[in-house]
Formats: sequence, structure tokens, C-alpha cells
Amino acid sequence: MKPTAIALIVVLVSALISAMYLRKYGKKVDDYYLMGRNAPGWVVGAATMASWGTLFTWVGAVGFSLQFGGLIIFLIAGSAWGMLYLCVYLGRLLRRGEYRTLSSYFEERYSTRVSHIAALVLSVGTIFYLFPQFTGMGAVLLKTLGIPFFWSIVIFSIFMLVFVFMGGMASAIMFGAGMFIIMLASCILYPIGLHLVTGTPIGEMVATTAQSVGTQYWTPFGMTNAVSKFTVGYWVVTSGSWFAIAMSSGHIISLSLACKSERELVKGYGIILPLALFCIAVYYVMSPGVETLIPRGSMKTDFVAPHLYANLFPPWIGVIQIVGVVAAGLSTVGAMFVFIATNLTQSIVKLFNLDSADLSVLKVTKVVIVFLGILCIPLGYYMPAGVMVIATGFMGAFLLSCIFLPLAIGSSWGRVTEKAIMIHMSINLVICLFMVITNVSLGWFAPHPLIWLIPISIVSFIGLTLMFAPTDQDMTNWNNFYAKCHSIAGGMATLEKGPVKDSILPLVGIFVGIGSIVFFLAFLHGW
Amino acid sequence: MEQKHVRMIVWNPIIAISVMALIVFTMPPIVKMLGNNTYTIGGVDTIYLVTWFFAPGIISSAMNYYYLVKNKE
Repeated sequence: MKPTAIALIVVLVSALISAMYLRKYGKKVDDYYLMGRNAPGWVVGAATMASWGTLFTWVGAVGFSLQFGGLIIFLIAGSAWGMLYLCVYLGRLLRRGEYRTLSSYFEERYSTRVSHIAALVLSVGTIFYLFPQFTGMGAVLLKTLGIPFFWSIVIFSIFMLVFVFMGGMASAIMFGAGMFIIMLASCILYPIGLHLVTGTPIGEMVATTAQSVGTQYWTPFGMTNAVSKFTVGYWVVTSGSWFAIAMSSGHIISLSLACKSERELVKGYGIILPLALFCIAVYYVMSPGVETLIPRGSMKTDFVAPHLYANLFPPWIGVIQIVGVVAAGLSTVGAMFVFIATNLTQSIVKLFNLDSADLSVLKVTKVVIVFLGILCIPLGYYMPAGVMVIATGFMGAFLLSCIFLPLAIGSSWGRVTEKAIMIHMSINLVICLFMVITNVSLGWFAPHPLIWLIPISIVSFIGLTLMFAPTDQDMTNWNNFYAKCHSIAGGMATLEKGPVKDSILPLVGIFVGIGSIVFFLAFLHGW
Repeated sequence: MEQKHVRMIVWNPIIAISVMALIVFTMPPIVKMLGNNTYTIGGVDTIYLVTWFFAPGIISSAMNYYYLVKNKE
């Protein structure tokens, strides 16, 4: 058996053991949903990095970047700015409110019926982010263990159900955080692995590939060649889509809600973004160097990375890469399973007047998780949108058109009313579903439905907000929300007091960010 | 509800999102102008792009560093 196959089996078994150890979190709703709100800042930060980076970096980026060029990274650059908004403002705001899920925010800020629609939108949108992870992990099992692709996805689905059943969010958070060092190591070793198997400097390989393909390889907005068909409009809407995904992703926000205090969250968020950006940049900018090993177009885009790690890299580096992939996959999929299930469960319990005792709620949650596990098998196998990175972008369509404005602006604008949000979400959900389905199946609304959804959602949000005057109930909801989340003296700059050594993590983050600029400039200068 | 609070917290996120949207959405035309539709490796456009890409991480760390230092015991 190959070392990468042994490593894969070992890490999966370790994940199950850790989940078994964390099954104490499977008995109460708050424990299962949010790890008892007991996660330290660095753990939340590390798990956020794993969940944000996900398989679109460790698997999707390699093939995608080889196909379209290293600067394709700017298609997802909006994501970094969305994360910035989450890390310095929104995550802390929601943590202050001590919500159980994102739909709880919609319930308290607007109303219960808005929370039902929000839960539906968040679930449908998140599924578009969830099933590409199954495709990625299926490709990894196929290339590493030689299991047929369909059965790889089935096995991964069963594995995830067991993994999430035991510890819930704690499984996802603790395993993601525990694998944090491995993920960093995998990203540092990735260029070294490329160099060792090709025997030439990576910068030279990247430059040679760029020259052989032509200058269009280096223009994210100008890639109007026959292969990519990307345009400026496509770039703009994809950036917007990724901005919304990062900023209003329920599974990432849920991680912040699990943090044990707001100060701890600021510590964790202080270092996470520069580290994650460095890792993402490594995979995107250096992957054109794979050209000499796997010619462009010779293999399915999402299969390039697993093939590289399992069959071409030196075993000791391949092992680290595979472990990094599994860490990213398990943490993300686990958090998404719990997030979707918790949002839907809250609505189901209320809509059908079910028993709200902990055990009953947990039972409903687990039924929903099983449903998701089964649903993702055909979706992950057939991959409706073709490529992981593209499919993931559809999540942004739902979030941007329905959730983004009620969350980002509605959390700060007292004028926004329940009626306006109800109509806004309903209309945009129907339009978004229609556009996404017809785009995937018939090619309508090309190049991306968001070109229409962005202006429609802005007009409907502002128009409806100005159209409906706040009722007494709206004002009561707003005042309660304001008192809970906003009215701490000094606003967002004020935290509970703590030791000055807490600021070490963000300070390291600043150096990592500046160091990354120097490193990549040196690399692009031919170092 | 005090109106001044509403005004204060309304404009902060709107301004923040508008600035971010402006940066994100105007980047391609700016670079297109700078680089004549291609990137000159080692040129000003490359420095701008690399800095632009890593800026959110540095801003995030710097702001959170400020929050923690400002609220030390």
C-alpha cells in the first residue's frame, strides 16, 4: 500500500477517535451546535482558516490555476475583503448577541417567519458549497486508495455522518484546529514538492508555462480565450459572490459564535486572515508549475491535485498534502452539516410545534444531517456546475441576493422593517433559484446570474425599506437588538479588559502579512 | 431609540462596504490601464496587485491588534 494511502487511513481513523472523544458534546443542543460556547480564540481562528480555505484551495486551486493561470486567484479575491468585514466587525457583533445560529439573528432582529425563510436560503445556498467538497474528497479517495469515484463519495458521506453524529460542531472545530499545523506545513511543502519532482526552480516553471500559453494567462479580466470565456463582468460578479460567501457564510459565522468570549475571538481573528491568504496564494500562484508534470487539459481539473499528491510527489510530502486536504475537508463539511441542520431544525421544530427539549431537537438535527449526507452523493458525483471553484460560487448567488443586505446593512440600519425583509428575501429567493437552475441546465443568464442578481437585490432592499415605515413591533425588535449588540460604551473598539500579551497573535499576523508581500514579490521577480 | 445612534451605526458599515466594493470592483480596470492588459512581472502593477491581495490580512491584524492593546488591563 502507498504511504499516502496509509496516511489517509490513519488521519480518517484519528478523526473518528477525536470525534468519539468529543461525544460528550452530543447531549445538549448548545454543546452540539456550538461546542458549549467554550472554544478558545486560537482554536476558532484555526478552524476558521480550515473552513474558509477548504478544498477549493487544497484541491480546486491546483487544477484551476494550472488551467487558467496563477492570477485566476483574483476571481476569489473578493473573499478576502469579505473575511475582513467578518473579522473586524460582523463576527464580533453576532458573538455579542450570543445567537445560537445565524437564523436566530434573523428571528430576533426581524421575526420568526423571516428566520424560516433565512434558514431555507442559507441551507439551499450552503449546499452549493457543500457538494463540491464531496467531489474533492471523492477525487482524493479515488486517486489515493483507487476506490471508484462514485463509491469514494458514498464512503466519504457515511464517514462524515459518523464523524458529525458524535461531537457535532466540536468535532469540526477541534479536528480543524488540531490539523492547523499540518495544513500550514502542507502549504509550505507544496512548492518544495514541486521543485523536487521537476528538478527546476518553481519560478522558472511558472514563467515558462506563462510564456507558452501567452500573455492572456496573466490577465484575470482579459481571459476571453476559448478555454476560460471569462470576462470583466464575470470577474466582477465572482468577486461579489465570494465577498458575500466569506462575509455571510453561516458555517464560518457559527465558528465565531462558539468562541468563549469576544476578546478571545479578536485574538483568533487577529492572526487568521494573513496566514490563510498566504496559504491560498501559494497554491494559486505556484500551481502553473505543474504544467511540466501534468499537461494542461490532460486530466479533469479537480483531479489534478489528488493525482499530484498521491502519485507524483515524494511520499513524505504527498502524505502531508493528503493530511492537509483531509483536515480542510472534514472541518468544512462538518461545520456545514451542523450549520445547515441546526438552521433547518430550529424552523422545523417551530413550524410543526415539535417538542423543544434537547433530546428531541438533537434527534431532528441528526435526521436532517442524514438527509444532507444522502443528497450530497448524487450532487457531488454529477457536479452540476462542472468545476469545484465555479460551483462554490453559486452559494454567493443565494447569499448575496437574499442574506447579505439584511445581515450587513440590516444589522446597523434601524429603518429596515420585517415586512420589507420578508418580501425582499422571498422575491430574491425565487428569482435566484430560477436563474441558477436555468444557468446550470440551459446556459441562461450567462456568464453568471449574479450580474442580474446584484442590482435586483440592491434595488429591492433599498426600495422596500423606504417603502414600509417601521411598526411598533419593528422598533421594539430594533431596540432590543441594538441594546444587545451595539450599545456597549465605545462601540466596536471596546472589549473586556485583558492582558497585553493577548495582542501577540495579531502582531504576528501583521508580520505574516508584510512578509507575504515581500515573499511573493521576490518569487515573481524570479527568485 | 436615539436617532444619533441610528445615524452613527448606519453609515459606518455602509461606508465600509462601499469602500470595499469600490476596491474590489475597480481593481481590474485600474490594472488594465496600468499594465496594458498584461502583467509585467516585476512592474508597478505587480507590486500593486500583490499588496492589494494581502491588504485585508494586514488591515484585519492591525485593527484587532489595536482593539486588544486599547483594552489592556
